[in-house]
Amino acid sequence: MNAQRKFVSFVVAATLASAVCGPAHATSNTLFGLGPRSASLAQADIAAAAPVAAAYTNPALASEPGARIELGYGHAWSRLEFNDRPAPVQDIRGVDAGLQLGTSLGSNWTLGAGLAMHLPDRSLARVSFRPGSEPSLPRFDPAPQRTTADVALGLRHGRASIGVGASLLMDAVGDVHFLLGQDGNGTYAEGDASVRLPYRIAPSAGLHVDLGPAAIAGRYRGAQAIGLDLATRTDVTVSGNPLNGTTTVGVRGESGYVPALADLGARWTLSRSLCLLASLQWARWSAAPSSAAELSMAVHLGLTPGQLEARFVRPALRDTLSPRLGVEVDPGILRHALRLRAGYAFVPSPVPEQRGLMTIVDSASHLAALGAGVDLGAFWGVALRADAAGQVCVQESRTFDKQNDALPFARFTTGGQLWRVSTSVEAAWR
Amino acid sequence: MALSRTGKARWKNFAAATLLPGCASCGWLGSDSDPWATVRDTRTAFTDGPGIEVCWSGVRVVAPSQAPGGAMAICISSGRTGASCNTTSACAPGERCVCGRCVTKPCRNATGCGQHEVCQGGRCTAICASNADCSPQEECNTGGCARRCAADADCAYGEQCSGLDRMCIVKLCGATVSCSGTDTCMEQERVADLREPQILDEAGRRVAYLELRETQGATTSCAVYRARVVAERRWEIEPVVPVLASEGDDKGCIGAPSVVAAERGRVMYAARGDGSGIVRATSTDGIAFSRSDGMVRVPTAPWERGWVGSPGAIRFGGKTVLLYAAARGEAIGRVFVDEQAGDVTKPLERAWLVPGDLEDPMFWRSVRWVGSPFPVERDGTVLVYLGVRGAEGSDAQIAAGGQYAADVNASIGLVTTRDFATWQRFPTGPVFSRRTNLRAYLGEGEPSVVFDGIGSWLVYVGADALGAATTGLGLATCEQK
Repeated sequence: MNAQRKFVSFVVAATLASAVCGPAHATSNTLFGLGPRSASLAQADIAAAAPVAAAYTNPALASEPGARIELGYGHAWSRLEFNDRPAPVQDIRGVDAGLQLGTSLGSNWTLGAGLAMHLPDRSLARVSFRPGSEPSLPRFDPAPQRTTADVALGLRHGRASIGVGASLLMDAVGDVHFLLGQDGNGTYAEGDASVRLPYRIAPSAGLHVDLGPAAIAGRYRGAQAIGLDLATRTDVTVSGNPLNGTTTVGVRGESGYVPALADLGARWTLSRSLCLLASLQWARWSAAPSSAAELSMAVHLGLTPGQLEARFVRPALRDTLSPRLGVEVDPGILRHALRLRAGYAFVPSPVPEQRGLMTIVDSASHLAALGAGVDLGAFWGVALRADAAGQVCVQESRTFDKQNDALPFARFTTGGQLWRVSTSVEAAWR
Repeated sequence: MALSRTGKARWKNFAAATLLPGCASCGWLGSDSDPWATVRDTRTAFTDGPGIEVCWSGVRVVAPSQAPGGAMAICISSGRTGASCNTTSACAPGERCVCGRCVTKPCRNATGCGQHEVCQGGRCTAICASNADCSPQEECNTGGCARRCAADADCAYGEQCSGLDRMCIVKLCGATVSCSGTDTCMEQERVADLREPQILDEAGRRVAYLELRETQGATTSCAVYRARVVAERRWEIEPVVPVLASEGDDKGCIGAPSVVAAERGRVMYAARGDGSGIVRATSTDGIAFSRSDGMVRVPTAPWERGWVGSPGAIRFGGKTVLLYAAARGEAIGRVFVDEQAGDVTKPLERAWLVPGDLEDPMFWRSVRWVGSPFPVERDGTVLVYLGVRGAEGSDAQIAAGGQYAADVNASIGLVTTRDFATWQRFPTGPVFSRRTNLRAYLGEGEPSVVFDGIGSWLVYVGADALGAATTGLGLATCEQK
């Protein structure tokens, strides 16, 4: 009867979560981490990720036996600045959710799967390309404004776990066609659009070795972006019109690039009440594409303009190495149901000095976080837990000088902060 | 199964924690209507808009190219006055707001009217096929909307009631056509060339100085006027008399003003119309200028080729720097002026900038003319906007084969300097250029730029592609949103 209740309540909660969160999209939130626990540890929890967040944080930990579901909400307020004015970055807010199922296979083997997601409030995704001369903030826009999905499969034998996963995204490929024509009744207009949203998959993998009071782990996540390849064709065939002909304009680019990440992490449990976490994250920003779209034109109106395409060079960003530290403390109150957490991360800027027409805005940032989690106890066979976190990401003040005063934004400054709060509720069936 | 009191509370908490994020994910807690900030370079990313309406004693000033038949004047019934307005929406049907007054728009032919308008009964009116196309007070009369009337008072200001068909019409008048009875012939336009505008902030409000050039027969006269910026795109010339008029040796023309702040009041540099020199005048109130003795600059250097004009002055680094056009568009010169002693340094041995300096094989080719330098300081750097003639972009490809050369046209360029010894040019051709379709360029020149907390204004003289026939003052802006 007890097992039946557990099963029924899990199905109910999972269905509810699916209903409010839509189809199986998952989130990779490289800025803040998934869920308040990871957020409050400044994402230093590679070696001690909550199983429910394993699909994003470390696929190897999806092998934990039991079933867990987490729903949370986070809201980040941008106080980032560009030239002493608000930077063009929208607040980042939306639902974080995680789902994890694991079971014992016997002989010290366990197998599990996880799903993690972030669903923004405003829309499923925002795809944007800034004009080449306008400032872009590659770390803060538009990648955090989109829905992504992470799925993972973890396998554990004894103290070692491995996991593989994928981050699901989509591209947008298609054609839009307008026709202005003429028939016996006069002129007419027609339009049709054909747009496909093919899947794009970025791989992820994780490794975890539990050494008792300590653990070490590694994680890799592939680069992500939304690819856009749209062509707009306009046909004009009106008798006597000197501009009859076909014009095709193609826009192509990669929006919201998130670099490939490789993390090494460790956990030290110093006592029953103190756990230290550390990780080092390498981000491959050097492969970032241009944040401006490529434009190509094919104009056949009897006269073709001289400029037929616009391409911007790759931004030549730098790879970064980001150290992260976290601490989790049991203060010994509330019958040991309370956990206090703190974290710090230093995130170097991938953006080098600017010398050209493009204006890429960024500076090194310090991320400090505080948080807490409390076990609410078991209800109807379900262990409930609530977590909350507050983060502040302080961007160092930085001044760029392109050394050519005639260039757009020849000298500019950036800095400011990003403030975020998040909360979640986790239900576990162990 | 009955839930305990504690169990109910926990269930409610769980439901709330689950559903609240769900509501958020559905967009109920936020939408995509957040304003999306636009950050543009206020020095170079200008967007064009409607032209500037310059009013002189309540009458709109129009360029000669826009008034081929001369200034328009109409008969006004005695005792009638137009309603005050700021926008056309405040006026009655058939009227529009011109220089702060609601009045009908007179015309001689359809070319003087806007899109979807016809010139009928001496004024521009909406094209119609039936009464439904007109406003309730009007009816459709032979293809144009008009008011039926019993008396002049039934008509828009500027119209009169025709005794022939009891419809409102406009009676044009002028030197050869007079009005009847007690009606007054009132001019609606004043034909003059507005040149070399300079806009600046003065004690929290914007004012402008500009050259107003009038032609009577074979004689051209010009003088410097001051204008109050009433609204973004409406200037009122105040006072109605010149703030700097030509004197004996000026041969009837002094213009191209450049005004800078001085310890007590303002200093103006202006050029003689024949290029024979640049003069200096001072004022304590920015309105009454008195000219200093002698000339600040006369064309003595060989590279100036006997012609200097279009001064652009700026106070920078504790001294006044004067840039000027020379050799009729073949060069830009530079001198320093000691405002206390009135001393002026010798001209450079060679030009500070020549058209070829702006040449770029990809973005700006065949640069042959440069003039009207306008220096303005921004964050420790002096931006020098220039009128330039060249061909931006590359040649067009003709479908049948071959190339169609890009047209040389007047545009606005930019160089920057921190020491007036060296400069750097904007790397991708003009910072402002207009075209009406893929290939047809318009002309822009004689720039003036002013910055404020939210953006910038670029005031320019609009012209045909070659910059020869002016069309009036234009305003392009760059605002941060």
